[in-house]
Amino acid sequence: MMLSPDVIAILVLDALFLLFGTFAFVLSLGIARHFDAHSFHERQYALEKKALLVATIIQYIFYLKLPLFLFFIFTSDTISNLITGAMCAAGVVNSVDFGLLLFAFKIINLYLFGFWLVLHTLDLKNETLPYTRAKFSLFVLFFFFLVAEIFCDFYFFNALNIDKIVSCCGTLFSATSTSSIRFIFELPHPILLSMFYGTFALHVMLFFRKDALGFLLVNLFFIPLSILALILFFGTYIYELPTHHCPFCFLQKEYHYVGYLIYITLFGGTFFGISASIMSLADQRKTYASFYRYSFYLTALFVAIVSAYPLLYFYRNGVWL
Amino acid sequence: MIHLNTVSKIFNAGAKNAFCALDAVSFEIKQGEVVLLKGASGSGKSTLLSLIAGLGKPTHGEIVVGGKHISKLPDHFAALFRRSSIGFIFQKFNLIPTLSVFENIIVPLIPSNIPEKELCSRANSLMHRFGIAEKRETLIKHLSGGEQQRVVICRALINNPRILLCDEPTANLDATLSYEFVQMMQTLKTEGKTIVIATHDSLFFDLPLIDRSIELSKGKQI
Amino acid sequence: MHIKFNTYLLAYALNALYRRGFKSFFTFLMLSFITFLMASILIIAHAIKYELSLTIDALPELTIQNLQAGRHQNISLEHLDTLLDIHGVQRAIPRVWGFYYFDNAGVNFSVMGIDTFDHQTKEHLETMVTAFDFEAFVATPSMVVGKGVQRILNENYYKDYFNFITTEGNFQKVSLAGVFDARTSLESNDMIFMPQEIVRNIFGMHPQEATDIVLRIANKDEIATIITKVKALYPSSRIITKEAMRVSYQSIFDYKSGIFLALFLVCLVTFLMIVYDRASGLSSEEKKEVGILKAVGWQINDILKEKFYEASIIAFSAFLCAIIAALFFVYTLQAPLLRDIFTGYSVLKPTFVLPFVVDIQMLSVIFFLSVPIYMAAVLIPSWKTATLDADEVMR
Ligand SMILES: Nc1ncnc2c1ncn2[C@@H]1O[C@H](COP(=O)(O)OP(=O)(O)O)[C@@H](O)[C@H]1O
Ligand SMILES: [Mg+2]
Repeated sequence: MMLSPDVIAILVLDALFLLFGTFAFVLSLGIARHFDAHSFHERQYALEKKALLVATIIQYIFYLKLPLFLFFIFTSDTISNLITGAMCAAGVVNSVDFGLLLFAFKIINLYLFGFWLVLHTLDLKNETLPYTRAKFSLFVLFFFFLVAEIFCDFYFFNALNIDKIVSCCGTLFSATSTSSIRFIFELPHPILLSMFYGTFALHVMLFFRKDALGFLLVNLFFIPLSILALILFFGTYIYELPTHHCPFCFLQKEYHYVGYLIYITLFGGTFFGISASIMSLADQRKTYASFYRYSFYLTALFVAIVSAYPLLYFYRNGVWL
Repeated sequence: MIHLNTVSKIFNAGAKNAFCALDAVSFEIKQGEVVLLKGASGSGKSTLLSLIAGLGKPTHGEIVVGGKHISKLPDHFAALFRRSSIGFIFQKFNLIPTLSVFENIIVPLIPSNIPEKELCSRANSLMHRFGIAEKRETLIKHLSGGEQQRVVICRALINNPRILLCDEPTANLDATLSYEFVQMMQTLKTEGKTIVIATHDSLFFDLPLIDRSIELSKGKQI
Repeated sequence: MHIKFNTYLLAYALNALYRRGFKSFFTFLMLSFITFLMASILIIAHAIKYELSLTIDALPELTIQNLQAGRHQNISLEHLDTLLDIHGVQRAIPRVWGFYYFDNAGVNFSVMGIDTFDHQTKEHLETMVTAFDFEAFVATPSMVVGKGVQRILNENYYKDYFNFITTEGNFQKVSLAGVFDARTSLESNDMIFMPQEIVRNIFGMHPQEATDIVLRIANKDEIATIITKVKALYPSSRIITKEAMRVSYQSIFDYKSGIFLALFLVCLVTFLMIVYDRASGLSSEEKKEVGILKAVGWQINDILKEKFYEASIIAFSAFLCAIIAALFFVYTLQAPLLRDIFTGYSVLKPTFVLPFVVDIQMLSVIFFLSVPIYMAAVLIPSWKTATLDADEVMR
């Protein structure tokens, strides 16, 4: 068990989330079951108030989770100094079996809670509260994701063992590794890059056409594709090392923490994109132009940042890696 | 403008201490009318006003104000409705004693976050109109009853409402101030505001200002 | 999702706090104090950890200890030259040191042998070796002691010399040649320096033995191969790398500050219960105010937002005050009382100035353990306030 102050901070907030989350979960069950905007019953008024409490709790959790997620990565990076063999968060995360799962949960939960809040805002725009039941039923589901993440967090810090020697990212993300992701290294760069920039072009086009369904699909596809492109291609230019494929190391100080910017623009852009599409699909009358715009700007910024590395490298050295 | 259809309000319904404060009240108030809501203390006048403003929900019946089904509106939207359409003048003034005159007047506009320029110009013109401009920075607790009454009216008008609801507006005023109040209502009437005055003050009976009276007794309309 | 910032609401929140004067101030003060305590503990631990890492950096790459039946034994010097022949080893330095128990005073002195003919293991010891003439100390047995040692000797009427009792039961008289100021954690108050020959005599060690051997290594990448070769030479040895020391020290410190943090959290929870209680109990004035706000068109969300602004003002200002106060307390006042918690143990001796280190990570920990937790404590009371029935004002 690691009992350093940063780990304690994360666990304490986790405990708080669990407490509030459970409370919200119980209330949500009642709301999802009994809420009826047309009812005159006293219970309905009580439920309306409780719905606001749950929404407040979810906002609290979400807005705290955002900085806490960054802090989690930062902490994992620090812990990598303690663990033999780990050079960055990748090694730390991989030092326990479910490390990547934990990471996935953390990101997915941020998306889920974010969508929930979008739905909530949408709901409060209409006097019939059309999505109230749906949104609390959804929270009942999301709660299990939250619980899973919190337990993973707990077991993660519990299982971290500073005496154990782990693989560093160099072996985790390499073509020779025996890991399950080896096959992706067989994807040739030209194909990968044309897919990456092609998807981005589609993104831009659909942004101007405000095509909700297409935009949704493009954004959903863009997340894994971008991560893949980061590992296989762009990362190597950030490190200027053709063999270094780690998607975590560029979060470190040596690379001016550029990873934070990269991931914030990627996740932020796709989040707004997916939200905008879902909202326009749900409510055909409006276009939610601001969300489309945020999505476009952030995604364009993401593409610009990652593209700048290989271009600058080529400009300076006259060759590709 | 205001439409009530067999509206009942039972407090603590179902419990032992259930109390029927309003019993099947129905009436209609047209735009620009000034209506007097008469009745002894405890007859349900305040309860009725708060239902019209959407502060509470009726146990039975339907309330439609300006085409909106107030009785069906969730709290979130009832507040928006009050913000846009209702001005409230309370019996006990209900000002925030530790805020200044200006601050009290702008309270209803705070959540709307409108530009400061517009906010100030609205508040200033109202303060000039009701003669309390020089008290702008004075705290409410240092004001006389008549001055407080004017602040209340300014606050009720700052959102430019179509409907003014007055609950015992003259209960804390002496005769001259009460008369002054009637004068002010008179000018507001000429501006086309719909006004409901709930009172048991005989001053209002048979005033030319009043278009119509509705009388309540123990929750029933007579 | 649209969280627009509302300056009027902020002004209103500030005003509301001001109006509740004492109540707000009390909360602010309590939160500041508790955050200050936590911040001080963390900053001290952080500073000591930093000092420790500097200290550890100065250590040799490898320390070879001889083990017998799992216990630390003296190591023979027969392979010293072979060690030096290992590729990559710059220097191999035998060290002679130990603890001398002074019965009369009931204290342990750390006795460190100085090899008068060799380079010293730690650079800053060299300044002492040049300041005092240790070569002369061999002829007339002499020592240099820390301030603490001098005090204890004085208390026991040893002014100019001290009689060590050797393992054979003889007296070894050593005169006091000088006193040094402990400047870093390594040259501690309880230390005695004297030539290695005398230390061997006192502890009854064979001239061909040392307490341990430290190796200086030029290239870190060669450490692993060197370790295997040393193992072959001294099969029963334990080889401690600098890296291992660093890790174990760091985890000891994390652990220690973790325990205090846990204790501190108990305080925090108590405090938050008070906050919860106070925030839940509303005066009739406050209830009426909520009623007025709702009657004039505020939504429940607006009131919640106002409460959120209030809580943020308190939490952030308390956080800032606490950080500033803690920095002042730790670095200007050198943390009286609190630093003993960390330095009172034998791991380190308490005589050094805390180095100034502040980083984002530490500030984040303090932030996460104060601001959001306070917000959590007022969340439910705020909701209760915001959902009060508005017809309170009508009566
Ligand atoms: N929240 C409440 N719970 C129980 N009874 C109430 C409540 N509010 C008002 N009443 C009762 O309803 C009756 C009508 O009150 P009200 O509308 O204030 O009368 P009026 O304004 O005409 O004096 C009174 O008898 C009062 O005691
Ligand atoms: Mg009344």
